[in-house]
Amino acid sequence: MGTAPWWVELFREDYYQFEGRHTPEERTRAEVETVERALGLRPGDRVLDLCCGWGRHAIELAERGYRVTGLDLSEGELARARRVAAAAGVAVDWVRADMRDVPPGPFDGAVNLWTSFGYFEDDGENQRVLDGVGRSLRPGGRFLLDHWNVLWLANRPRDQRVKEYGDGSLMLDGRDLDVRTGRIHAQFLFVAGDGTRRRHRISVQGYTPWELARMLGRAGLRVLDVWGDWAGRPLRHESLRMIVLAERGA
Amino acid sequence: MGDPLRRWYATSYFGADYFLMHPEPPPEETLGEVDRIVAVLGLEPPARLLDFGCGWGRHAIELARRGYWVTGQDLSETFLAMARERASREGLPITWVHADMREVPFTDAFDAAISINSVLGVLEGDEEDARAVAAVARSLRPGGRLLVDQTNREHVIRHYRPDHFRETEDGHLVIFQGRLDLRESLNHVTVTIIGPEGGRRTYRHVFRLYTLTELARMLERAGLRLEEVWGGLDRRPYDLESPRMVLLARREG
Repeated sequence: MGTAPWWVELFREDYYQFEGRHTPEERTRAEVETVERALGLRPGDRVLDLCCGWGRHAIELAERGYRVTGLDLSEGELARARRVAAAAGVAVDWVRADMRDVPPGPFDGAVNLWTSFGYFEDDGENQRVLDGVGRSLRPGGRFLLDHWNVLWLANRPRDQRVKEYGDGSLMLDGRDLDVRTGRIHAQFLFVAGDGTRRRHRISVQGYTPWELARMLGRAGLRVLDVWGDWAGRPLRHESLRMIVLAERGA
Repeated sequence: MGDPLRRWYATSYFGADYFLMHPEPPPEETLGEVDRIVAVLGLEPPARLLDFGCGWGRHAIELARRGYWVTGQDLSETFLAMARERASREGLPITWVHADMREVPFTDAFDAAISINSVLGVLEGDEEDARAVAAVARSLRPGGRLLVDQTNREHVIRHYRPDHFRETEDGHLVIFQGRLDLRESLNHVTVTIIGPEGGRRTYRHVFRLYTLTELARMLERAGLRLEEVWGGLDRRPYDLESPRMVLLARREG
């Protein structure tokens, strides 16, 4: 591993090869249906997928008739996204950029999914991401952010998970919340069927729902709802996810 | 009873790979455990002790060093060979017995028996564990005592983590995946060991998680009167948060 930030190393190739490609399509469809409902999208609406990866949500949204912009920093992920979109015959406006450089829009809705926030060590830099979202949304436009629930992690020190895939590959995921700083430290160990191992260390700032509500407020976004899963159940201590729905003031 | 999986204890689980799954604790830890065992039993050397499920003799050997007259019983030939080798290096006169837990080839022979580190709960069913307890009870002299150290089921349930894994210094990846069967109070665990070169070995085992109530009744049915219950060999109180469940019982008569 070089000295590039962890997200550059992880999303160059390994994440898709060892984890991303195993994502069931039904899950993407179900998540996109939730996005449509939560953001109150109407046909033809302009939607920003901030940190879109290889575009599994962006492409599904485009297939449903929205005008989608997908932003990501990883050239490799975007190249894959372009290929998948072309194969599906849909047009998405792909933008290679840092998440702090949100395109001006205006967008009718925006999403930041699957723990794609809090990467920067400095809260101010993470705030810049939300500020960009706030500026790029039209008044009344909505934003859905999906992240780890730190309230759950706080009660599960050194949590470990094993995911097995049918091809004999494994993902071993160990994570720990630094309860003083709120930083979530994770280690992903990918094991291929032949035993080859790839290791990535991840560090993401975790935010409590109330901290995030304040940051969103500074960006001109008001929290409408907070869920603990994609089925829309309320956030609880034991929820794995924290899904925040916010709206830009008029 | 017919489930071949329930005979996992008689397979290679208790062999060389065991130490990848459960590394041998440092010697100080064994010394401390033996200090506590001796304190709990309150017996002076050369009392006669049975280490029931002695494994590779971690406790039996240290007890023999302290002058006790020790017999170690286990079903694993691999472990017993290690135990014999370690004991003979020091010329310790320990009797090693290779036998199933339901067959303890002694009667009225020991001042105390110890069963350390969750020996009960590995046989094919509750009745089989009860037979093992009855066998060990018969091996005690009247008034002799049995010390049982088991996993605390309540702690396991409260803190259940289906998955965990570890990498060893020599590059083995040891992956535990658990599943609780609450109807039968069984913990099914699959251990996958991935070697540095990628080779995989898998072990499946099943542990019966006894409640304190169930275990106490099992001892009583074997003619053992429960004297003490602790949450560890250090005699801390037994509660929901103690990782261990330690019982001390006396053979009637």
